[in-house]
Amino acid sequence: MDPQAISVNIVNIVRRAPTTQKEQLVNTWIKAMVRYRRWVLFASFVATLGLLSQLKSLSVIIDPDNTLPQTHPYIRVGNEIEKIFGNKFTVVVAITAKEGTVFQTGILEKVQRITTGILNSPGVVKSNVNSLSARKAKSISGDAEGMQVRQLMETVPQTEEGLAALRSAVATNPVYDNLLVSKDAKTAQIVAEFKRLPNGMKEVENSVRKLVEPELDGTVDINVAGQPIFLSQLETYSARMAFLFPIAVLIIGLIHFEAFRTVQALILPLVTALVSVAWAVGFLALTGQPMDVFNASTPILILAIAAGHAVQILKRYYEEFAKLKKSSPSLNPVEMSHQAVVNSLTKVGPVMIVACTIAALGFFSLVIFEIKTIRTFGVFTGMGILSALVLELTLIPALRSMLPPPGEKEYQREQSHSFWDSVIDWFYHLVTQRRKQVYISAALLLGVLSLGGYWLRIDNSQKGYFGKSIRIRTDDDAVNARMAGTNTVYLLVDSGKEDGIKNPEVLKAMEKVQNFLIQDEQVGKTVSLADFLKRMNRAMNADQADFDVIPASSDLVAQYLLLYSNSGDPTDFDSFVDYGYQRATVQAFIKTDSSAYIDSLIAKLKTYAESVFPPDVKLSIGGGSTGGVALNEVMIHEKVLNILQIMGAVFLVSSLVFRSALAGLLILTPLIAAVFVNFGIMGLLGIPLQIATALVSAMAVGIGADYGIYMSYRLKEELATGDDEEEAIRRAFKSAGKAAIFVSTAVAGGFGVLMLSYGFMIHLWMGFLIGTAMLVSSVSALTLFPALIFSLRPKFIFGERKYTMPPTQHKAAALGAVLLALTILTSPNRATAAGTLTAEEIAKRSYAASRTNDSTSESKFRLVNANGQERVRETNGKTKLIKGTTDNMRYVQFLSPSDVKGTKTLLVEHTGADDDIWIYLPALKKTRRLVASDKKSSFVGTDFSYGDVIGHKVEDWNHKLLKEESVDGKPCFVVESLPKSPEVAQNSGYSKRIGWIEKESFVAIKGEGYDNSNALSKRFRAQKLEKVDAVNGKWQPMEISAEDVSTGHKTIIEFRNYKANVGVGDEVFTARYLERQ
Amino acid sequence: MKCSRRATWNGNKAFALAFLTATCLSAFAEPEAETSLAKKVTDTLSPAGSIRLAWFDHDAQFSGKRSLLVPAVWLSLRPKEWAGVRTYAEARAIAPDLRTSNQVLFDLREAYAETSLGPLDIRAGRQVIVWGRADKLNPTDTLTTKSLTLLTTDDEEQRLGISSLAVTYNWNSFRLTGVWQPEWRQPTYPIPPLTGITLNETDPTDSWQQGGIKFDSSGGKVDWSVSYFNGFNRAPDLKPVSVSGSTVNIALTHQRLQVLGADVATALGSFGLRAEAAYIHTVDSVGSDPTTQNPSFYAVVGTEYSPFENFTLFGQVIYRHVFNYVDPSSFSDPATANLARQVSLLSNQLFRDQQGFSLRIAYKALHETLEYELALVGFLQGGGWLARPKISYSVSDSWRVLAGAQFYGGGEDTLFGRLQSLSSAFAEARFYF
Repeated sequence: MDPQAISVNIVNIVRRAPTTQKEQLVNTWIKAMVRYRRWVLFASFVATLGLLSQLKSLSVIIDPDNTLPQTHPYIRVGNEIEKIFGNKFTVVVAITAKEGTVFQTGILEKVQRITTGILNSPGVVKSNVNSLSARKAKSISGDAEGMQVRQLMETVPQTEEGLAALRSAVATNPVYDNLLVSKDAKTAQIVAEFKRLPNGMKEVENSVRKLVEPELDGTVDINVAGQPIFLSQLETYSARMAFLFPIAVLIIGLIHFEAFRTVQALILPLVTALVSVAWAVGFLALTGQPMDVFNASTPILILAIAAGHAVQILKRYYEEFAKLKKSSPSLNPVEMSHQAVVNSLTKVGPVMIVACTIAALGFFSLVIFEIKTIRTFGVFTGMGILSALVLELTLIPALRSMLPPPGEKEYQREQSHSFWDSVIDWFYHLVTQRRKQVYISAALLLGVLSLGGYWLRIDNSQKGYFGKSIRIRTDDDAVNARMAGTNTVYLLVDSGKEDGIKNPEVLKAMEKVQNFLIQDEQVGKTVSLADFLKRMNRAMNADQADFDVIPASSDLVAQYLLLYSNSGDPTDFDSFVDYGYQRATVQAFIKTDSSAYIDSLIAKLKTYAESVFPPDVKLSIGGGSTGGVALNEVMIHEKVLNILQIMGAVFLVSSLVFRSALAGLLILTPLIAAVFVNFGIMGLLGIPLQIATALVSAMAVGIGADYGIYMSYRLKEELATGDDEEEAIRRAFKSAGKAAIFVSTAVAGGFGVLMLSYGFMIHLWMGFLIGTAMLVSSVSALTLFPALIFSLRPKFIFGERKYTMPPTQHKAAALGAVLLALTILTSPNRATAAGTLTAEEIAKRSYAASRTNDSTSESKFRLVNANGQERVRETNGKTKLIKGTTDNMRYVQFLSPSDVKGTKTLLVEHTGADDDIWIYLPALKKTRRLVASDKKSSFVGTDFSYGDVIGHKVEDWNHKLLKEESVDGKPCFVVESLPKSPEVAQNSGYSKRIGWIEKESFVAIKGEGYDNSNALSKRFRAQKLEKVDAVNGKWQPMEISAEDVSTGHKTIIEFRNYKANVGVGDEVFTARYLERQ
Repeated sequence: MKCSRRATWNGNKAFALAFLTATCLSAFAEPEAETSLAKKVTDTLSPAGSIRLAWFDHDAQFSGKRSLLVPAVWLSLRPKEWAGVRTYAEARAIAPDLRTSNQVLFDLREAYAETSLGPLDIRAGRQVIVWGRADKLNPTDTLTTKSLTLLTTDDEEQRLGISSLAVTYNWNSFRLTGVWQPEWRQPTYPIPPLTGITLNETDPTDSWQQGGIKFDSSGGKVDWSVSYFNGFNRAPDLKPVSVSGSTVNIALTHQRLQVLGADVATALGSFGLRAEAAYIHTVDSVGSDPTTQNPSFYAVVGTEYSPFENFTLFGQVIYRHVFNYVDPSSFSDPATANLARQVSLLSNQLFRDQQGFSLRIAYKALHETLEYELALVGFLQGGGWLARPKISYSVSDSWRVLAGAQFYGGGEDTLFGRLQSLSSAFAEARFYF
């Protein structure tokens, strides 16, 4: 058959008429997509190529600092320091002698070779390379002639004397102590400043390692550390994403495949997701937004969101296909598939448009941020979402309509009860029957996570991105342990005028600041011009220790510097003071890069520095490791704002779309839960809030809303069918809920592979936190969200429906067994006028009068003998009608007396066959199947027989209306029932039954049973009638009694908390439930 | 013969006192007082139990003691479900002979927590796990230990809980259960004194390596299951350890066994059908070790019938086949022959093929306040038999009295025959709270 003809047919045979204007629009659109599927496919292909071609104009920012506002004080000062002093990224190479000190010819030669090599490396700031062999490392000494300035080690000493002299020179110049040589003289360090290279820091690391490796001859350990090395390693480890991402995608596909067991499920959601990412990148280029390192993980978010929508539609497609197969079996499978494509998108399409619009607007709202990376994040994600929307409304229906229709196996699979159904059933029962527990659990979780949130620390240690055993960490730890520290903070001192730095007051203040800083245990060293001037002063005064102070006057300072310049190089102090001696730095070497620590150090330093410098001196702090602090501060602050803004936008748009502020609030629930749980878990597990983890939390916001929106619409749609509320809700769970579970499991499982990225904490955290966010979003969309909906019953979901949902918690349940018990007494419906009813019709109504779909209640049995002695049994029970029958399943649990406490029975009626009965006896610790009792046997020792409990089938008896009379002032039909056969009489134990059937309720409020010798054997009463199901007109007596006329023994059963149609689950009527405590 | 170690907890009177106090508080509390502590405790913990005073004509340990007064207190707690976790605890204190001894046996019989995660049920803690659908005689019932020397009027109460982790996956009417039992509790058997032999109980090594798995279907027209257990034999083998003078020291050894079993039960009107069978594989698979039980096949098939209201008749046939059977008397060494005979007696493996029957008649009257029961078990080979009549009456919801007897008979070389001297009448009054 011609496919085009098929699609025409499809268009003509829409069996599920769209009900709203939106649905009509989408329906028309999708039909067009199916009809012109080849054109759609072609157009999509062209659009994809077109957008991908834009990639050439995509600008990429590699330096994270460049994404920050350059007005941030730390960044501004850092830029100024870099401009004036050249300091930017510091590499340190520490060479440690395995035996003896570094003052050995061989080791010093290594220092020299590496220093020379670094000076020739790409990106190096030559004037800022310092080591024992560096030209700028000068020895300042004094003799009778005055100050002597010599290069510390022009050539490597070859004699013991030469080595001793070098050691002495280092010792007399404390400025190098712990900076170039460790205090124990076992380690020598080379400190080199680099500029960022256009292709990243990999080149710097490679060049340094190339210099170091030949020197590793067993006599020394060499550790390489510093910011460029860190950035280079970050690039290396981040590159793992190149193979982890495809594995993640593959796993997502495989989990979808497991869920649906179809190739379509494996491929199509991923097609949507990956093409959405491609389109989004293309759009990003088109809009001129730059790509940056912080958005490298944004495709994960787009993938998760796009897959989420795709799976919702796919699930609906299979459901619609199954429906068509049942309702229109004559349809050709291909036609059926096309029809299912149209039907599924007609229903889900409008929801998807709403969900995507809400999410996209939320993300687009981020363009108001000043930070480039946040803007990019907003545009990129928003575009990705819209791309997914467009693709699901164009390419995917076209593609799906070209694929073969689901085969019998796929169909069966969709119809069968799978593991996923069990999971959904569990959620359904949790929400409908244990709502109180949902709230309590949520509250407990909230409490625990709040504690986590309290402990959450904001700290960005870049070194902490790597595992402790990773080389970059061990190297860094080793260097920090032996030397001054691998991290730096600068105090920029601006005197405001040329030569202002030469002012002894300023120099003394710099000295004080240094003394203050060095008291901090994490500060390993401080260096400034003051150190050199003190050394010069001492040298000029015959090396007397008393003169190791700042020169007394500016003139003296100037003279010393002039003298120094006679022997030293003009660039020796370039990293400490500017050319005009207006600005200088105090450089502190720190052993940690913890942003929290550096932040606190800066605060202390600022306060102290302001107190010691002359008021006209301008002070600022920045440069070095403060860039990371600034990055952390800005990013986290902005990300938190970004989360709040998206939440605000989602609330606003949801409220507008649903025309209910409550809807907006409820849809925020899964989203807030995801963010809250993420922050809480981070606090509890000690994962710091830093750039990477803040990014993940921002992603969680984007995921959370969709599940709630799909659930809301599906609930609304199913409830609108007018079907039984319980069934409608169950269907919503089975459809939208199941799809949510599929996709969250898939994405969580997929990105769980990031946790395999050994040693790289960013991937580990990301894998863990994305997985958690996905699962929490979906779980809260299936628990807290519907629980709130069922509790609040908002109009935007329920409309004007009057049914009541199950209460928060069923206190016990009905002694279901006996509930119906009194079919002998009970009668049905809201019908009234008797004259028009036959006796059989009255009996039928009476039989059905108390038969609700299900019920729960508590009951108290009072067994009273003729002497008035009383025994009491308390039970709770539940009943449920077996679907499509009038047979009941009855569960009874005995609560007292103590000897039967914990005993539980399960009775499943079978019309025309033996009933099944199981009993769980706590003494035996197991469930036993019992033989079916005949109908006349006593029910658990009461005066009611099993027949009285289960009910006597109307059709087994001949009924006759004897008269009408009042009982307790209530008008009744008096109906006599005689067994149609001796077997019925034998089995029931009655030769005749008479019932007084109340006209309003059709409940038999009085009854008599006659034994097989036609003697009155039992009397029954039913009192305290309550209408338990107003919609279906079901009544229930809250007290029933039976009296054995021959013995005078009487049983009174009182019901409490009787509730009908509360959604008792099938699992109650299983051996599993019997054996539960 | 004497056992060198008791399997029961003996002493710690302070604990027993506390237990009794708690029980009495539960028993005599006035739950009606809404604000009382007792009311709060009752609501929270849902205590239940009984205080009992029993009389046994004879003990169950060949001590020769007669006319024993056995008071006991049973207490169970079912705390309110919390966060989806349900808990249960059951403890008892029994004074096995109040007249001549102040010994109190305290046992925390069960204490576990259970929860359900979707289709998964998890129960962890000390618990009694009973497998098998046949009536009373269960070839697959391998997961509980029994203290057969404990004087109780209900043989089910001789079971001891064992710390276990049970995980069940439920799928419609099917259940797949895995059980791990890291705890070993020594069973006790009534073994008559043997001249010149001292018995010492020993625990198996690696006793934490026990577990089983069961695939079960319940809820349809037919209930059935298949199961596998890999653990230690509750019935001991007798291993000679040393000879000191004229006394042989024998270790009661519990060796590993594997049990592959199946059961089925259904009801056809007033008739119920039950069958249960197991292949029991022991470490002596070829039957060469006279001190170790042989592999065997054990099956029970029967029916129950309810001819009239509240009257039930249970009848079962029993069959046991011992693989690689060797007649203990065929061993030429008298000591070895004796040991082999004792092992066979303990495990009921004295014959290659053994047929037997069980019959149980139960009747309830007076609105189930009066209950009669007669249980009979007999074997064709050797003629050993057991009869246990019992009658009980509920005077009120709180008081119950019962009386009965346990008679053993048959040849000396049979499981029941050699317990003849333990035949005993008993009576008991129980106060439930």
